[in-house]
Amino acid sequence: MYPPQFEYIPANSLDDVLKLLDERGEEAKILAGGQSLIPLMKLRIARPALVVDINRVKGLNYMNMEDGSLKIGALVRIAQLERTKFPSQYDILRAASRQVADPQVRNMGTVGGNAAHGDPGNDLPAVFISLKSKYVVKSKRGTREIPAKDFYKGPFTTELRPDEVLVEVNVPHWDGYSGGTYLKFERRTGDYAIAAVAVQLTVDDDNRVTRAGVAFTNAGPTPLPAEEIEESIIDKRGLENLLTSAKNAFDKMKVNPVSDLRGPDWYKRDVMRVLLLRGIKTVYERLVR
Amino acid sequence: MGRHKISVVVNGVKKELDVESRLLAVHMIRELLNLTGTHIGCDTSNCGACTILVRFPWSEDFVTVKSCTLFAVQLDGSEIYTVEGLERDGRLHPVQEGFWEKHGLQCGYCTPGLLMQSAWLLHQNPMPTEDEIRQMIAGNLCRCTGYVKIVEAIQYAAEKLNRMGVRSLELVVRR
Amino acid sequence: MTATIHGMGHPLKRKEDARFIRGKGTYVDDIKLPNMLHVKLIRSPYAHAKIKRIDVERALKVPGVVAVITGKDLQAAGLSMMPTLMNDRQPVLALDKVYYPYQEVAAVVAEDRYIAEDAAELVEVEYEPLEPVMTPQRALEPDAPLVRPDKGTNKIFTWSAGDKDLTDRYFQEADVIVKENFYYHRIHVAHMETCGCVAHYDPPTGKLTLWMTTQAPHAVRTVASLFTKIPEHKIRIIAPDIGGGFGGKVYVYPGYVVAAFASIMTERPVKWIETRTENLSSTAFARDAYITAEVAAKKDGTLLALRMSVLSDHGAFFGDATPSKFPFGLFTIVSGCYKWKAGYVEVTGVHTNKPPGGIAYRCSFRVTEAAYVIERMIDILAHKLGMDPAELRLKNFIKKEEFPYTSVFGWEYDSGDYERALRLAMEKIDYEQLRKEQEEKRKRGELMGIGISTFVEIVGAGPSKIFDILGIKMFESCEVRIHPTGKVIARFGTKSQGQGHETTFAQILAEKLGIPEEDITVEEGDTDTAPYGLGTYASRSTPTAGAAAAVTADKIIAKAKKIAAHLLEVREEDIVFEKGRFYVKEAPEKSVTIQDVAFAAYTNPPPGLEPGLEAVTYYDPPNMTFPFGAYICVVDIDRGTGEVKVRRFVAVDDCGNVINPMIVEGQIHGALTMGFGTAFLEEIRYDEQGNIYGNTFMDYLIPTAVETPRWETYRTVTPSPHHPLGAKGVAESPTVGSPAAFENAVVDALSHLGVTKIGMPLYPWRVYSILKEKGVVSEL
Repeated sequence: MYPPQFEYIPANSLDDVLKLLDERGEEAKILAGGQSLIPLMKLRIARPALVVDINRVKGLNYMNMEDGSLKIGALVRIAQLERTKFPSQYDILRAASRQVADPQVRNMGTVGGNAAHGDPGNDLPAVFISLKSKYVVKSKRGTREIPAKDFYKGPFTTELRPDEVLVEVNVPHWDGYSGGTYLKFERRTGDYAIAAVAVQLTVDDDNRVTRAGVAFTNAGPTPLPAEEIEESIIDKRGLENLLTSAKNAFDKMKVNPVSDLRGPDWYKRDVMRVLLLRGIKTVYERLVR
Repeated sequence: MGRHKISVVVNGVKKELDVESRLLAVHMIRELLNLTGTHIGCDTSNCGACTILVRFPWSEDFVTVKSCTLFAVQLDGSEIYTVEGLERDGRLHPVQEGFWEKHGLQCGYCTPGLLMQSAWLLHQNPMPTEDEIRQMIAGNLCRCTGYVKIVEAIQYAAEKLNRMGVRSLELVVRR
Repeated sequence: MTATIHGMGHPLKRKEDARFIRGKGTYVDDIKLPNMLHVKLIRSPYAHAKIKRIDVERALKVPGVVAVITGKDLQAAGLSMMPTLMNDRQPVLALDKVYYPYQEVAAVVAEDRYIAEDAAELVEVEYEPLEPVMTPQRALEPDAPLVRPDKGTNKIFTWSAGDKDLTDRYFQEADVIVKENFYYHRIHVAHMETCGCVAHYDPPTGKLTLWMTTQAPHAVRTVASLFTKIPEHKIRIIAPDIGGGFGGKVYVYPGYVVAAFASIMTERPVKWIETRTENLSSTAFARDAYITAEVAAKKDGTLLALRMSVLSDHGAFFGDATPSKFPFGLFTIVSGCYKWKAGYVEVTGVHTNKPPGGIAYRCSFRVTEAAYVIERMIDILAHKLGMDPAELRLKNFIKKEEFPYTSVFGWEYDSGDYERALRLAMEKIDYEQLRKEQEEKRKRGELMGIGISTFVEIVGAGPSKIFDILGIKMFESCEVRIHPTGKVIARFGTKSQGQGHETTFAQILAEKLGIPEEDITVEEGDTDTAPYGLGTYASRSTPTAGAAAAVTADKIIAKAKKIAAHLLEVREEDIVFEKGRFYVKEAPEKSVTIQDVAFAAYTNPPPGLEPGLEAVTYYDPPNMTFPFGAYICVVDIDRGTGEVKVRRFVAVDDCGNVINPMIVEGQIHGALTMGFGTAFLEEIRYDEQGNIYGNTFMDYLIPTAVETPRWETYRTVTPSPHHPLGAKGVAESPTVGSPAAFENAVVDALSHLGVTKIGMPLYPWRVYSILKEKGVVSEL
């Protein structure tokens, strides 16, 4: 409840941020919504020497449809995502964002923070993976785009280097025959998931799945992309067919959730599979004609 | 190690404060401003007893935040309201009235946070359904009431605000 | 004098809310005194360890640190070992050994909390870990380490009640016997305000004032005086606004003692406020009992006898908040609403390396364990007999004309009408229709369950011939003063923590005195002003203090009649009192008001009568009160995840005559929600190494508005024959009665698969593993 001491610098521009990170990135933490960082500092688990507050940086809070893709600035609050009426192919963003923590946390918590923190329990990473998104990260050295599915390396460990900051989530174009959902099963409202799945599909005129994105939350040390499942349902049609394929693919997948207070590993695995199948059913039934 | 002079409008009054970097907003409110209506019920940002309304300099809108999960220094240039700011010119805000009329509180400890969250949620959604109310107060834990009467209290306030034809925060924010 | 009186039965808005809704309550942490210091406790990371060394030097060098206190400092002052509520002794700060995780080891006293926290990190404590004893079963094994070498055994007590031989005989004769093992898991009250105090020692007067989060200020003062040798009149305990208690604020925690000691040592005010993690880790727990239950019956369902064997875990020090003669509380209410031929209970209490302080968690002492077990057992028996659980209950209820009824354990149930309550609940939920729906759903493979719990509580301790805490009899007090202008101050020995005493006690007095409740101020919690009482817990305030208020009002009216007779120039016998008015029996138009009488009491008292108008009562109840209820719960189970959704919950409660129905309803909602939390979400758990789980609000899951069911509450009224107002306690009934209803419902959903037990909390994974075992999980 009483954080240790640190140096606080409010950055006014992205250049300020990049300069500070360039000089002192190893000892610094970025403060955006703070809804993960500050609790860790209160418990004195996180003890950064320098906290760089990026909340005042202009030009990082935007949601733009450009060149067919949806660009979400890192400082967009999760509550903004929750309240935005996206075209229906991006429904998953609303579905997921309203299930993140609680309303006050969503008012502060940012898209960039949720994505960059590297907590396998955070909800948005699986969503961005399922949407085939890229994270745009910047440093003084330049700009990189990292596919969300390759971003996560371990618990709280990501591709982000100490001098880098995540500035944008770039969601590619999904056509109007697309849609998705995020199914989260939790012990109690506001908790991290026992298991959760993001499912994003495109279905053609023949009710055939042409594109698929699937990823899991809290399924192991990182958000878990499920390319095997995606591949198993692409070019398939008919709900039963999809479900059987997805189930078989899931059963072959290496999924290693940990046993903890949320339940034993075998249970979480079973729940992941149920949610996966329910997710596919929900989305497919919505999209078929 | 790092003190900062900040300026915050608190319940309509401008305050200049000198704060340590690490000072949490809730401690600024309780210890420096002596506004002890804002409570602390946990150390993991779960309970919501410390909920306040903030308009940050980068936004036009007020939002509710857990003031235990915010550094005081982040509030520089902001405008905040605490439970002490809900009543105006001797008139209770409809959410205060609702909680009193409908027995929306027992020990009173979680109440300030719930009042702030209720005032905000009704501004966002003047005619919420019961489910929407329950979802929007999911970040406020109450151990006494079982929430039934809190929901009724918020419904009472919604009706009253609609009868009055005003939006919730218009009754709070001082211009 | 035309103000309306809102007495008994009126849903009066609460007086105390005027400050709470404005953020103007005064809780302990809101109290700030000039020059105040802050305490941060250093706690043990081990469940069981020797302390080799404590080095405070680095901590002392932190600017702003005034002192670092260890057990040795307290020892030098003769204050190292504090008494518990069961007359055990526990270290205030550990001396050479720690006995439980998060035990208090040292204390930093500093200018502010941030500094105290910084310095606490620099206190070096070297431990030598010892093998901990983390379960009561382990504690009783011959090779188990001794938790308390000073006691020579891990066993604290064995205690029994009932007639063993007779019970055994009925078991031999029974057609049917059912037996089951239960573990009532360890939970925590988790009141929203954590514990804390401000201690202020004033050297010139030698007086120690403690603002503290306590439910029982007077008892605390007496014990503090006996312990510290500070004369009792030099100690003032003030319980200001309390942010929920539920039993957790009965215990005296080491932090209070440390703060008081630090204030005496530094001659400055000292504040100690625990964090939520500290609160969940080290303050009083509830339940944590293993119970083997057996019930014997005839094949037609007539109950014969019950036999219970309990193994209870009391932690490293025996500090349960329970009446002295009842080491496992009032568990013998386990006979429930039913007629039995015989019953026998035996309890073994043991020490483990867990924190002390078994408390009730919003129930009368160990009544929740009793209600849960018997209500589960009745369902298990119904299942075995193939009978409907409602029918089995109706068959065995004590009938309303059989009250007062003496149970097989000797309690005299004051009044009840169990059948009426259950029938009302069945009607409100449409029980018959639900059973039909269930049958249809089963055909489709859907899982839906209906759970019943009909419970009786035993509250209002107590008759002082039976009940005491540390020798202090469990009476309750009320003092009423009517001022010359007819305004009233009433003081009580109880202490509200959200129950609304300022309103309900004013309503009782308004009803009895005929004075508007707005003219009555109720005060509690300050030992310098309030009459001595035992405090508020175990639903005792209405049964005891409420009764004291009624009796006090009667005393005042008796005197007031003399004054009225004097004013009206008639004989006292000719005066009739009604609704604030004294009139002449034969000439009702000749009258004076109670306000006239109050004024005369100070300005024109009758010759020979003492001036003034006040009275005080120390009320010793003749019996306990026995509130009861019937709950029915409907659940649907998700076969894919094991998730249980509570679809409906109908609660019929009977607490006799009601003072404020709005407050009673609120109490019932709250207690139902705690019962829901207990059944589905809440648990404090330890592993074999002594690591604690569930000690933050991230993992100690108290219900939010989203999953909390929409309670449907109803009431029947069966007055208590011995309470002056016919009232009974109520605030805890649903915590007692509801957990069995939830589990019975989930078991009922699976009963056709042969399931008779699940175990709390009813975690989805626990339910799911049974579904899996029975082969009924759904893949979609």
